[in-house]
Amino acid sequence: MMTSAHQGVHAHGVRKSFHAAGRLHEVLKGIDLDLLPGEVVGLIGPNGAGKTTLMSCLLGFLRPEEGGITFDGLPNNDLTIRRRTGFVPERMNLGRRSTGWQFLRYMARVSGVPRAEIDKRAAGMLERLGLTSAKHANLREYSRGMLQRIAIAQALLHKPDFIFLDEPASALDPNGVLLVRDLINEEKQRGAMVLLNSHQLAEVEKVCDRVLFLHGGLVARAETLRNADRCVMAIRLLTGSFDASAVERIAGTAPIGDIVIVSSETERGVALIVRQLITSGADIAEIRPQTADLESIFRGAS
Amino acid sequence: MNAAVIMETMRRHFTSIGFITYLILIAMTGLFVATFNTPASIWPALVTILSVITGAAIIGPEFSTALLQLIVSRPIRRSVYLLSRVTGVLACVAVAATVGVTSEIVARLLLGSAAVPWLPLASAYANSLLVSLLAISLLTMLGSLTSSYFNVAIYASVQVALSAVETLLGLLRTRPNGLSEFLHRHQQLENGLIALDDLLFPAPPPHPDTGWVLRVAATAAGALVLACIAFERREVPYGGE
Repeated sequence: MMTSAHQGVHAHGVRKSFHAAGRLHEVLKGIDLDLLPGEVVGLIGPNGAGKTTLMSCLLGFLRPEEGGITFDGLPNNDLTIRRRTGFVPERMNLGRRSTGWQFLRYMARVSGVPRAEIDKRAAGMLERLGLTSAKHANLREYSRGMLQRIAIAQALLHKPDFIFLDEPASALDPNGVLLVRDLINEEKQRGAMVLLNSHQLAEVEKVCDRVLFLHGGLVARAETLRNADRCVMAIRLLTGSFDASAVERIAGTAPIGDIVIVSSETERGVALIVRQLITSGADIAEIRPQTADLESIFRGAS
Repeated sequence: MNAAVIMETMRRHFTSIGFITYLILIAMTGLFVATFNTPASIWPALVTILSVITGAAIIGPEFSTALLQLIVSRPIRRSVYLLSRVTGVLACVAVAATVGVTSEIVARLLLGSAAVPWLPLASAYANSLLVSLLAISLLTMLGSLTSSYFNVAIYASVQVALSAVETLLGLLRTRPNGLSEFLHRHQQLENGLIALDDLLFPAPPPHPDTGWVLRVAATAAGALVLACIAFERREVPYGGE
Protein backbone atom coordinates (compact mmCIF):
# COMPACT_ATOMS: atom_id res chain seq x y z
CA MET A 1 0.00 0.00 0.00
CA MET A 2 1.41 3.37 -0.99
CA THR A 3 1.72 6.11 1.59
CA SER A 4 2.60 9.78 1.42
CA ALA A 5 6.17 8.78 2.28
CA HIS A 6 6.54 7.24 -1.18
CA GLN A 7 8.48 9.49 -3.50
CA GLY A 8 8.59 7.42 -6.66
CA VAL A 9 11.51 6.80 -8.97
CA HIS A 10 14.06 9.53 -9.60
CA ALA A 11 16.94 9.48 -12.03
CA HIS A 12 19.34 12.30 -12.67
CA GLY A 13 22.18 12.62 -15.15
CA VAL A 14 22.16 8.93 -16.07
CA ARG A 15 24.85 8.15 -18.62
CA LYS A 16 25.62 4.75 -20.07
CA SER A 17 27.99 3.69 -22.84
CA PHE A 18 28.82 0.44 -24.56
CA HIS A 19 31.88 -0.70 -26.45
CA ALA A 20 30.95 -2.04 -29.86
CA ALA A 21 33.18 -2.71 -32.87
CA GLY A 22 36.09 -1.03 -31.11
CA ARG A 23 34.16 2.18 -30.52
CA LEU A 24 32.48 3.64 -27.49
CA HIS A 25 28.78 4.28 -28.04
CA GLU A 26 27.13 6.59 -25.56
CA VAL A 27 23.57 5.26 -25.41
CA LEU A 28 22.27 7.39 -22.54
CA LYS A 29 23.63 10.94 -22.46
CA GLY A 30 22.33 12.27 -19.18
CA ILE A 31 18.76 11.19 -18.51
CA ASP A 32 16.71 12.99 -15.87
CA LEU A 33 13.29 11.69 -14.96
CA ASP A 34 10.78 11.56 -12.13
CA LEU A 35 8.17 8.82 -12.02
CA LEU A 36 5.54 9.39 -9.38
CA PRO A 37 3.35 6.93 -7.45
CA GLY A 38 0.01 6.32 -9.13
CA GLU A 39 1.35 7.49 -12.47
CA VAL A 40 1.52 5.59 -15.75
CA VAL A 41 4.38 6.85 -17.89
CA GLY A 42 5.03 5.78 -21.46
CA LEU A 43 8.53 5.44 -22.83
CA ILE A 44 8.61 5.85 -26.59
CA GLY A 45 11.26 6.47 -29.17
CA PRO A 46 12.83 5.02 -32.30
CA ASN A 47 14.87 1.82 -32.25
CA GLY A 48 18.27 2.41 -30.67
CA ALA A 49 17.08 5.43 -28.71
CA GLY A 50 18.11 3.80 -25.45
CA LYS A 51 14.71 2.76 -24.05
CA THR A 52 15.76 -0.76 -23.07
CA THR A 53 19.09 0.52 -21.74
CA LEU A 54 17.29 3.09 -19.62
CA MET A 55 14.92 0.44 -18.27
CA SER A 56 17.90 -1.85 -17.55
CA CYS A 57 19.64 0.95 -15.63
CA LEU A 58 16.49 1.71 -13.64
CA LEU A 59 16.10 -1.97 -12.74
CA GLY A 60 19.77 -2.30 -11.77
CA PHE A 61 20.68 -4.74 -14.56
CA LEU A 62 23.16 -2.19 -15.90
CA ARG A 63 25.28 0.27 -13.92
CA PRO A 64 25.32 3.82 -15.25
CA GLU A 65 28.76 5.42 -15.52
CA GLU A 66 27.35 8.65 -14.17
CA GLY A 67 24.21 9.80 -12.46
CA GLY A 68 22.02 8.37 -9.77
CA ILE A 69 18.80 6.38 -9.53
CA THR A 70 16.66 6.14 -6.42
CA PHE A 71 13.37 4.44 -5.61
CA ASP A 72 11.64 6.18 -2.70
CA GLY A 73 15.04 7.64 -1.79
CA LEU A 74 16.77 4.25 -1.69
CA PRO A 75 19.20 2.78 -4.23
CA ASN A 76 17.64 0.52 -6.84
CA ASN A 77 19.55 -2.56 -5.63
CA ASP A 78 18.14 -2.30 -2.12
CA LEU A 79 16.32 -5.55 -1.35
CA THR A 80 13.30 -3.75 0.16
CA ILE A 81 12.94 -1.90 -3.15
CA ARG A 82 13.29 -5.10 -5.17
CA ARG A 83 10.54 -6.64 -3.06
CA ARG A 84 8.30 -3.85 -4.39
CA THR A 85 9.41 -4.07 -8.03
CA GLY A 86 7.72 -5.95 -10.86
CA PHE A 87 9.16 -6.39 -14.32
CA VAL A 88 7.88 -7.83 -17.59
CA PRO A 89 10.74 -8.49 -20.02
CA GLU A 90 10.34 -8.17 -23.74
CA ARG A 91 11.90 -11.55 -24.38
CA MET A 92 10.06 -14.54 -22.95
CA ASN A 93 12.67 -17.27 -22.74
CA LEU A 94 11.50 -18.38 -19.31
CA GLY A 95 12.28 -21.67 -17.56
CA ARG A 96 11.00 -24.19 -20.06
CA ARG A 97 11.19 -27.11 -17.62
CA SER A 98 8.27 -25.78 -15.58
CA THR A 99 4.53 -25.61 -15.88
CA GLY A 100 2.87 -22.22 -15.62
CA TRP A 101 1.75 -23.08 -12.11
CA GLN A 102 5.25 -24.14 -10.99
CA PHE A 103 6.81 -21.05 -12.56
CA LEU A 104 4.40 -18.67 -10.84
CA ARG A 105 4.83 -20.35 -7.46
CA TYR A 106 8.62 -20.16 -7.81
CA MET A 107 8.50 -16.48 -8.72
CA ALA A 108 6.14 -15.82 -5.81
CA ARG A 109 8.55 -17.50 -3.40
CA VAL A 110 11.61 -15.56 -4.58
CA SER A 111 9.54 -12.37 -4.52
CA GLY A 112 8.87 -12.81 -0.83
CA VAL A 113 5.13 -13.53 -1.04
CA PRO A 114 4.05 -15.05 2.31
CA ARG A 115 3.97 -18.84 1.99
CA ALA A 116 0.31 -19.02 3.04
CA GLU A 117 -0.72 -16.69 0.20
CA ILE A 118 1.33 -18.14 -2.65
CA ASP A 119 -1.24 -20.60 -4.02
CA LYS A 120 -4.11 -18.14 -3.69
CA ARG A 121 -2.24 -15.35 -5.45
CA ALA A 122 -0.87 -17.60 -8.19
CA ALA A 123 -4.32 -19.06 -8.86
CA GLY A 124 -5.82 -15.56 -8.84
CA MET A 125 -3.30 -14.23 -11.37
CA LEU A 126 -3.72 -17.26 -13.65
CA GLU A 127 -7.48 -16.74 -13.54
CA ARG A 128 -7.12 -13.01 -14.23
CA LEU A 129 -4.77 -13.60 -17.16
CA GLY A 130 -6.97 -16.35 -18.61
CA LEU A 131 -4.40 -19.10 -18.11
CA THR A 132 -6.20 -21.34 -15.60
CA SER A 133 -6.86 -24.07 -18.15
CA ALA A 134 -3.17 -24.06 -19.17
CA LYS A 135 -1.69 -23.89 -15.71
CA HIS A 136 -0.42 -27.48 -15.74
CA ALA A 137 0.93 -27.25 -19.29
CA ASN A 138 4.68 -26.93 -19.69
CA LEU A 139 5.90 -23.44 -20.57
CA ARG A 140 7.50 -24.82 -23.72
CA GLU A 141 3.99 -25.56 -24.94
CA TYR A 142 2.86 -21.97 -24.34
CA SER A 143 2.35 -19.68 -27.31
CA ARG A 144 4.19 -16.34 -27.32
CA GLY A 145 1.00 -14.60 -26.20
CA MET A 146 0.56 -17.06 -23.32
CA LEU A 147 4.19 -16.52 -22.27
CA GLN A 148 3.56 -12.79 -22.30
CA ARG A 149 0.50 -13.29 -20.11
CA ILE A 150 2.39 -15.41 -17.59
CA ALA A 151 5.23 -12.87 -17.57
CA ILE A 152 2.66 -10.21 -16.66
CA ALA A 153 1.26 -12.50 -13.95
CA GLN A 154 4.68 -12.99 -12.31
CA ALA A 155 5.30 -9.24 -12.40
CA LEU A 156 2.08 -8.39 -10.58
CA LEU A 157 1.50 -11.25 -8.15
CA HIS A 158 3.52 -9.71 -5.32
CA LYS A 159 1.61 -6.40 -5.66
CA PRO A 160 4.63 -4.26 -6.55
CA ASP A 161 4.75 -0.48 -6.23
CA PHE A 162 7.16 -0.01 -9.15
CA ILE A 163 6.14 -1.79 -12.33
CA PHE A 164 8.28 -1.89 -15.46
CA LEU A 165 6.63 -3.24 -18.60
CA ASP A 166 8.72 -3.79 -21.71
CA GLU A 167 6.39 -4.30 -24.68
CA PRO A 168 3.89 -6.22 -22.53
CA ALA A 169 1.24 -6.58 -25.22
CA SER A 170 3.30 -7.05 -28.37
CA ALA A 171 2.19 -10.68 -28.83
CA LEU A 172 -1.31 -10.41 -27.40
CA ASP A 173 -4.61 -10.68 -29.23
CA PRO A 174 -7.12 -7.79 -28.93
CA ASN A 175 -8.65 -9.32 -25.78
CA GLY A 176 -5.20 -9.57 -24.26
CA VAL A 177 -4.45 -5.95 -25.14
CA LEU A 178 -7.68 -4.86 -23.42
CA LEU A 179 -6.77 -7.00 -20.41
CA VAL A 180 -3.34 -5.39 -20.12
CA ARG A 181 -4.99 -1.97 -20.35
CA ASP A 182 -7.35 -2.90 -17.50
CA LEU A 183 -4.51 -4.30 -15.40
CA ILE A 184 -2.43 -1.14 -15.85
CA ASN A 185 -5.39 0.98 -14.79
CA GLU A 186 -5.98 -1.23 -11.75
CA GLU A 187 -2.33 -0.95 -10.72
CA LYS A 188 -2.49 2.82 -11.16
CA GLN A 189 -5.62 2.97 -8.97
CA ARG A 190 -3.77 0.89 -6.36
CA GLY A 191 -1.09 3.59 -6.34
CA ALA A 192 1.66 1.82 -8.26
CA MET A 193 3.99 3.60 -10.63
CA VAL A 194 4.01 2.02 -14.09
CA LEU A 195 6.67 2.62 -16.74
CA LEU A 196 5.50 1.28 -20.09
CA ASN A 197 8.01 0.82 -22.89
CA SER A 198 6.03 0.26 -26.06
CA HIS A 199 6.00 0.91 -29.77
CA GLN A 200 2.20 0.66 -29.78
CA LEU A 201 1.50 4.39 -29.69
CA ALA A 202 -2.27 3.93 -29.60
CA GLU A 203 -1.99 1.85 -26.44
CA VAL A 204 0.44 4.28 -24.84
CA GLU A 205 -1.98 7.08 -25.62
CA LYS A 206 -4.86 5.18 -24.03
CA VAL A 207 -3.24 4.21 -20.73
CA CYS A 208 -0.44 6.68 -19.99
CA ASP A 209 -0.68 9.90 -18.03
CA ARG A 210 2.61 11.11 -19.40
CA VAL A 211 4.92 10.10 -22.16
CA LEU A 212 8.69 10.47 -22.40
CA PHE A 213 10.08 10.57 -25.90
CA LEU A 214 13.62 9.23 -25.93
CA HIS A 215 15.83 10.23 -28.82
CA GLY A 216 19.60 10.16 -29.16
CA GLY A 217 20.05 9.08 -25.55
CA LEU A 218 18.12 12.00 -24.10
CA VAL A 219 14.54 12.72 -23.09
CA ALA A 220 13.84 14.78 -26.21
CA ARG A 221 10.29 15.58 -25.20
CA ALA A 222 7.98 14.99 -22.23
CA GLU A 223 4.27 15.29 -22.85
CA THR A 224 1.37 15.18 -20.42
CA LEU A 225 -1.44 13.13 -21.96
CA ARG A 226 -3.87 13.31 -19.10
CA ASN A 227 -4.13 16.04 -16.57
CA ALA A 228 -5.54 14.65 -13.38
CA ASP A 229 -6.71 18.13 -12.28
CA ARG A 230 -8.63 19.02 -15.42
CA CYS A 231 -11.13 17.46 -17.74
CA VAL A 232 -10.18 18.26 -21.35
CA MET A 233 -12.45 17.29 -24.24
CA ALA A 234 -12.27 17.70 -28.00
CA ILE A 235 -15.70 18.57 -29.45
CA ARG A 236 -16.31 18.19 -33.15
CA LEU A 237 -19.07 20.45 -34.44
CA LEU A 238 -21.06 19.94 -37.62
CA THR A 239 -19.71 22.19 -40.37
CA GLY A 240 -21.83 25.31 -40.91
CA SER A 241 -23.86 24.78 -37.77
CA PHE A 242 -21.92 27.17 -35.53
CA ASP A 243 -20.72 30.70 -35.23
CA ALA A 244 -16.98 30.69 -34.47
CA SER A 245 -17.07 33.84 -32.34
CA ALA A 246 -19.97 32.47 -30.26
CA VAL A 247 -18.14 29.18 -29.78
CA GLU A 248 -14.99 31.04 -28.70
CA ARG A 249 -16.99 33.10 -26.21
CA ILE A 250 -18.56 29.96 -24.66
CA ALA A 251 -15.57 27.60 -24.75
CA GLY A 252 -12.87 30.17 -24.07
CA THR A 253 -10.88 29.00 -27.11
CA ALA A 254 -11.46 29.49 -30.80
CA PRO A 255 -12.39 26.40 -32.83
CA ILE A 256 -9.72 24.97 -35.11
CA GLY A 257 -11.65 23.92 -38.17
CA ASP A 258 -14.66 22.06 -36.78
CA ILE A 259 -13.01 21.15 -33.50
CA VAL A 260 -13.04 23.10 -30.29
CA ILE A 261 -11.07 22.06 -27.22
CA VAL A 262 -12.88 22.69 -23.96
CA SER A 263 -11.37 22.45 -20.53
CA SER A 264 -12.91 22.46 -17.09
CA GLU A 265 -12.04 21.27 -13.59
CA THR A 266 -14.99 18.89 -13.62
CA GLU A 267 -17.00 16.84 -16.09
CA ARG A 268 -20.06 18.86 -14.98
CA GLY A 269 -18.23 22.01 -16.17
CA VAL A 270 -17.68 20.42 -19.58
CA ALA A 271 -21.34 19.37 -19.70
CA LEU A 272 -22.36 22.98 -19.03
CA ILE A 273 -20.21 24.21 -21.92
CA VAL A 274 -21.71 21.55 -24.21
CA ARG A 275 -25.25 22.67 -23.24
CA GLN A 276 -24.34 26.31 -23.98
CA LEU A 277 -22.88 25.34 -27.36
CA ILE A 278 -26.12 23.53 -28.29
CA THR A 279 -28.18 26.49 -27.09
CA SER A 280 -26.06 28.74 -29.35
CA GLY A 281 -27.19 26.63 -32.32
CA ALA A 282 -24.09 24.49 -32.79
CA ASP A 283 -24.68 20.83 -33.70
CA ILE A 284 -22.29 18.41 -31.99
CA ALA A 285 -21.00 15.45 -34.00
CA GLU A 286 -18.54 13.95 -31.50
CA ILE A 287 -17.10 14.47 -28.03
CA ARG A 288 -13.94 12.65 -26.97
CA PRO A 289 -11.21 13.06 -24.34
CA GLN A 290 -8.40 15.20 -25.66
CA THR A 291 -4.95 13.65 -25.52
CA ALA A 292 -1.73 14.56 -27.22
CA ASP A 293 -1.34 13.08 -30.67
CA LEU A 294 1.57 10.73 -30.10
CA GLU A 295 1.98 9.94 -33.75
CA SER A 296 2.58 13.61 -34.51
CA ILE A 297 4.93 13.90 -31.55
CA PHE A 298 6.83 10.82 -32.68
CA ARG A 299 7.13 12.11 -36.24
CA GLY A 300 8.03 15.61 -35.14
CA ALA A 301 10.67 14.63 -32.63
CA SER A 302 12.43 11.78 -34.42
CA MET B 1 20.85 -19.68 1.00
CA ASN B 2 17.41 -19.49 -0.55
CA ALA B 3 15.29 -22.61 -0.11
CA ALA B 4 13.06 -21.74 -3.08
CA VAL B 5 16.03 -21.62 -5.48
CA ILE B 6 17.52 -24.86 -4.08
CA MET B 7 14.21 -26.70 -4.35
CA GLU B 8 13.52 -25.34 -7.84
CA THR B 9 17.00 -26.40 -9.02
CA MET B 10 16.42 -29.90 -7.67
CA ARG B 11 12.90 -30.09 -9.09
CA ARG B 12 14.14 -29.21 -12.57
CA HIS B 13 16.74 -31.99 -12.42
CA PHE B 14 14.45 -34.65 -11.00
CA THR B 15 11.84 -33.95 -13.67
CA SER B 16 14.41 -34.23 -16.44
CA ILE B 17 14.39 -37.47 -18.42
CA GLY B 18 18.11 -37.07 -19.06
CA PHE B 19 18.90 -36.84 -15.36
CA ILE B 20 16.71 -39.81 -14.44
CA THR B 21 18.29 -41.88 -17.23
CA TYR B 22 21.74 -40.97 -15.91
CA LEU B 23 20.72 -42.08 -12.40
CA ILE B 24 19.62 -45.43 -13.81
CA LEU B 25 22.95 -45.74 -15.64
CA ILE B 26 24.85 -45.06 -12.41
CA ALA B 27 22.72 -47.59 -10.54
CA MET B 28 23.37 -50.25 -13.18
CA THR B 29 27.09 -49.44 -13.11
CA GLY B 30 27.08 -49.77 -9.32
CA LEU B 31 25.51 -53.23 -9.65
CA PHE B 32 27.97 -54.25 -12.36
CA VAL B 33 31.17 -53.16 -10.57
CA ALA B 34 30.16 -55.13 -7.48
CA THR B 35 31.74 -58.12 -9.23
CA PHE B 36 35.11 -56.33 -9.37
CA ASN B 37 37.74 -56.81 -6.68
CA THR B 38 38.48 -53.07 -6.61
CA PRO B 39 35.57 -51.23 -4.95
CA ALA B 40 33.95 -48.12 -6.46
CA SER B 41 35.48 -48.62 -9.89
CA ILE B 42 33.40 -46.66 -12.40
CA TRP B 43 30.46 -44.85 -10.83
CA PRO B 44 32.59 -42.12 -9.12
CA ALA B 45 33.81 -41.08 -12.58
CA LEU B 46 30.20 -40.99 -13.81
CA VAL B 47 29.29 -38.82 -10.82
CA THR B 48 32.10 -36.39 -11.68
CA ILE B 49 30.93 -36.24 -15.31
CA LEU B 50 27.40 -35.55 -14.04
CA SER B 51 28.71 -32.70 -11.88
CA VAL B 52 30.35 -31.15 -14.98
CA ILE B 53 27.14 -31.50 -17.02
CA THR B 54 24.89 -30.07 -14.32
CA GLY B 55 27.37 -27.48 -13.01
CA ALA B 56 27.81 -26.05 -16.51
CA ALA B 57 24.22 -24.78 -16.44
CA ILE B 58 24.80 -22.42 -13.51
CA ILE B 59 24.79 -18.65 -14.26
CA GLY B 60 26.59 -18.60 -17.65
CA PRO B 61 23.82 -20.11 -19.80
CA GLU B 62 21.22 -18.32 -17.67
CA PHE B 63 22.34 -14.99 -19.17
CA SER B 64 20.56 -15.88 -22.39
CA THR B 65 17.23 -16.40 -20.63
CA ALA B 66 14.86 -13.79 -19.31
CA LEU B 67 14.60 -15.80 -16.09
CA LEU B 68 17.92 -14.54 -14.72
CA GLN B 69 16.80 -10.94 -15.22
CA LEU B 70 13.54 -11.71 -13.42
CA ILE B 71 15.48 -13.27 -10.54
CA VAL B 72 17.96 -10.42 -10.12
CA SER B 73 15.08 -7.94 -10.09
CA ARG B 74 13.68 -9.77 -7.05
CA PRO B 75 14.62 -9.45 -3.36
CA ILE B 76 17.41 -12.00 -3.43
CA ARG B 77 21.13 -11.20 -3.34
CA ARG B 78 22.97 -12.43 -6.38
CA SER B 79 25.54 -14.26 -4.26
CA VAL B 80 22.70 -15.99 -2.37
CA TYR B 81 21.13 -17.02 -5.67
CA LEU B 82 24.48 -18.33 -6.97
CA LEU B 83 25.24 -20.33 -3.81
CA SER B 84 21.69 -21.69 -3.72
CA ARG B 85 22.01 -22.88 -7.31
CA VAL B 86 25.33 -24.56 -6.45
CA THR B 87 23.73 -26.21 -3.42
CA GLY B 88 20.79 -27.46 -5.48
CA VAL B 89 23.07 -28.93 -8.15
CA LEU B 90 25.37 -30.48 -5.54
CA ALA B 91 22.34 -32.05 -3.84
CA CYS B 92 21.35 -33.66 -7.16
CA VAL B 93 24.90 -34.94 -7.67
CA ALA B 94 24.88 -36.26 -4.09
CA VAL B 95 21.74 -38.24 -4.90
CA ALA B 96 23.53 -39.70 -7.94
CA ALA B 97 26.58 -40.64 -5.81
CA THR B 98 24.25 -42.16 -3.20
CA VAL B 99 22.55 -44.23 -5.92
CA GLY B 100 25.98 -45.42 -7.13
CA VAL B 101 27.35 -46.42 -3.73
CA THR B 102 24.06 -47.93 -2.56
CA SER B 103 23.64 -50.09 -5.66
CA GLU B 104 27.22 -51.38 -5.30
CA ILE B 105 26.70 -52.16 -1.58
CA VAL B 106 23.39 -53.91 -2.26
CA ALA B 107 24.92 -55.95 -5.09
CA ARG B 108 27.94 -56.92 -2.97
CA LEU B 109 25.62 -57.96 -0.11
CA LEU B 110 23.48 -60.02 -2.49
CA LEU B 111 26.48 -61.66 -4.12
CA GLY B 112 27.91 -62.40 -0.68
CA SER B 113 31.22 -63.52 -2.14
CA ALA B 114 33.31 -61.28 0.10
CA ALA B 115 32.90 -58.76 2.89
CA VAL B 116 31.64 -55.35 1.78
CA PRO B 117 34.63 -52.94 1.63
CA TRP B 118 32.88 -50.30 3.71
CA LEU B 119 35.80 -47.93 4.24
CA PRO B 120 36.95 -47.73 0.59
CA LEU B 121 33.34 -47.28 -0.55
CA ALA B 122 32.71 -44.53 2.02
CA SER B 123 35.97 -42.87 1.04
CA ALA B 124 35.11 -43.07 -2.69
CA TYR B 125 31.65 -41.65 -1.97
CA ALA B 126 33.01 -38.69 0.02
CA ASN B 127 35.83 -38.06 -2.46
CA SER B 128 33.50 -38.12 -5.47
CA LEU B 129 31.29 -35.54 -3.75
CA LEU B 130 34.27 -33.35 -2.99
CA VAL B 131 35.62 -33.57 -6.56
CA SER B 132 32.10 -32.79 -7.80
CA LEU B 133 31.89 -29.75 -5.51
CA LEU B 134 35.17 -28.49 -6.95
CA ALA B 135 34.05 -29.06 -10.55
CA ILE B 136 30.72 -27.31 -9.92
CA SER B 137 32.47 -24.42 -8.15
CA LEU B 138 34.98 -23.93 -10.98
CA LEU B 139 32.24 -24.08 -13.61
CA THR B 140 30.15 -21.60 -11.61
CA MET B 141 33.13 -19.26 -11.36
CA LEU B 142 33.71 -19.49 -15.11
CA GLY B 143 29.96 -19.11 -15.68
CA SER B 144 29.88 -15.91 -13.66
CA LEU B 145 32.58 -14.47 -15.93
CA THR B 146 31.26 -15.70 -19.29
CA SER B 147 27.95 -16.45 -20.93
CA SER B 148 26.32 -19.43 -22.63
CA TYR B 149 28.31 -22.68 -22.18
CA PHE B 150 31.74 -21.06 -22.50
CA ASN B 151 32.32 -22.13 -18.89
CA VAL B 152 32.42 -25.82 -19.76
CA ALA B 153 34.39 -25.11 -22.94
CA ILE B 154 37.08 -23.31 -20.91
CA TYR B 155 37.00 -25.94 -18.16
CA ALA B 156 37.48 -28.83 -20.61
CA SER B 157 40.09 -26.93 -22.64
CA VAL B 158 42.20 -26.17 -19.57
CA GLN B 159 41.97 -29.80 -18.42
CA VAL B 160 42.98 -31.15 -21.82
CA ALA B 161 45.69 -28.52 -22.30
CA LEU B 162 47.29 -29.23 -18.92
CA SER B 163 47.39 -32.96 -19.60
CA ALA B 164 48.74 -32.45 -23.11
CA VAL B 165 51.47 -30.03 -22.02
CA GLU B 166 52.52 -32.31 -19.15
CA THR B 167 52.79 -35.26 -21.55
CA LEU B 168 54.67 -33.18 -24.10
CA LEU B 169 57.15 -31.90 -21.53
CA GLY B 170 57.69 -35.45 -20.28
CA LEU B 171 58.48 -36.60 -23.82
CA LEU B 172 60.76 -33.66 -24.55
CA ARG B 173 62.70 -34.24 -21.35
CA THR B 174 63.69 -37.72 -22.52
CA ARG B 175 65.15 -36.43 -25.81
CA PRO B 176 68.85 -35.48 -25.71
CA ASN B 177 68.72 -31.88 -26.90
CA GLY B 178 68.90 -28.31 -25.63
CA LEU B 179 65.26 -28.21 -24.66
CA SER B 180 65.68 -31.33 -22.55
CA GLU B 181 68.53 -29.67 -20.67
CA PHE B 182 66.44 -26.56 -20.17
CA LEU B 183 63.57 -28.65 -18.75
CA HIS B 184 65.95 -30.51 -16.46
CA ARG B 185 67.37 -27.23 -15.20
CA HIS B 186 63.85 -25.77 -14.73
CA GLN B 187 62.09 -28.75 -13.21
CA GLN B 188 59.84 -26.32 -11.31
CA LEU B 189 58.07 -25.51 -14.60
CA GLU B 190 56.82 -29.05 -14.97
CA ASN B 191 56.17 -29.37 -11.25
CA GLY B 192 54.11 -26.17 -11.34
CA LEU B 193 51.96 -27.49 -14.16
CA ILE B 194 51.43 -30.79 -12.35
CA ALA B 195 50.53 -28.93 -9.16
CA LEU B 196 48.05 -26.73 -11.05
CA ASP B 197 46.51 -29.79 -12.70
CA ASP B 198 46.22 -31.50 -9.32
CA LEU B 199 44.73 -28.37 -7.77
CA LEU B 200 42.03 -27.87 -10.42
CA PHE B 201 41.38 -31.46 -11.45
CA PRO B 202 42.43 -33.59 -8.47
CA ALA B 203 42.40 -37.36 -8.63
CA PRO B 204 40.85 -38.83 -5.49
CA PRO B 205 43.42 -40.57 -3.24
CA PRO B 206 43.06 -44.35 -2.75
CA HIS B 207 42.85 -43.91 1.02
CA PRO B 208 41.28 -41.19 3.21
CA ASP B 209 43.58 -38.16 3.14
CA THR B 210 42.72 -35.15 5.31
CA GLY B 211 45.25 -32.89 3.58
CA TRP B 212 43.75 -33.67 0.18
CA VAL B 213 40.22 -33.04 1.49
CA LEU B 214 41.21 -29.66 2.95
CA ARG B 215 43.04 -28.61 -0.23
CA VAL B 216 40.12 -29.50 -2.51
CA ALA B 217 37.59 -27.87 -0.18
CA ALA B 218 39.72 -24.70 0.02
CA THR B 219 40.04 -24.54 -3.79
CA ALA B 220 36.28 -24.97 -4.18
CA ALA B 221 35.62 -22.28 -1.55
CA GLY B 222 38.04 -19.91 -3.30
CA ALA B 223 36.32 -20.50 -6.64
CA LEU B 224 32.91 -19.82 -5.09
CA VAL B 225 34.10 -16.61 -3.45
CA LEU B 226 35.44 -15.39 -6.80
CA ALA B 227 32.18 -16.45 -8.49
CA CYS B 228 30.12 -14.47 -5.96
CA ILE B 229 32.28 -11.35 -6.35
CA ALA B 230 32.15 -11.57 -10.16
CA PHE B 231 28.39 -12.15 -10.30
CA GLU B 232 27.63 -9.37 -7.79
CA ARG B 233 29.58 -6.91 -9.93
CA ARG B 234 28.44 -8.14 -13.31
CA GLU B 235 25.88 -6.41 -15.46
CA VAL B 236 22.90 -8.51 -16.54
CA PRO B 237 21.76 -6.99 -19.82
CA TYR B 238 18.63 -7.98 -21.63
CA GLY B 239 17.03 -6.98 -24.89
CA GLY B 240 19.29 -5.52 -27.51
CA GLU B 241 22.42 -4.76 -25.46
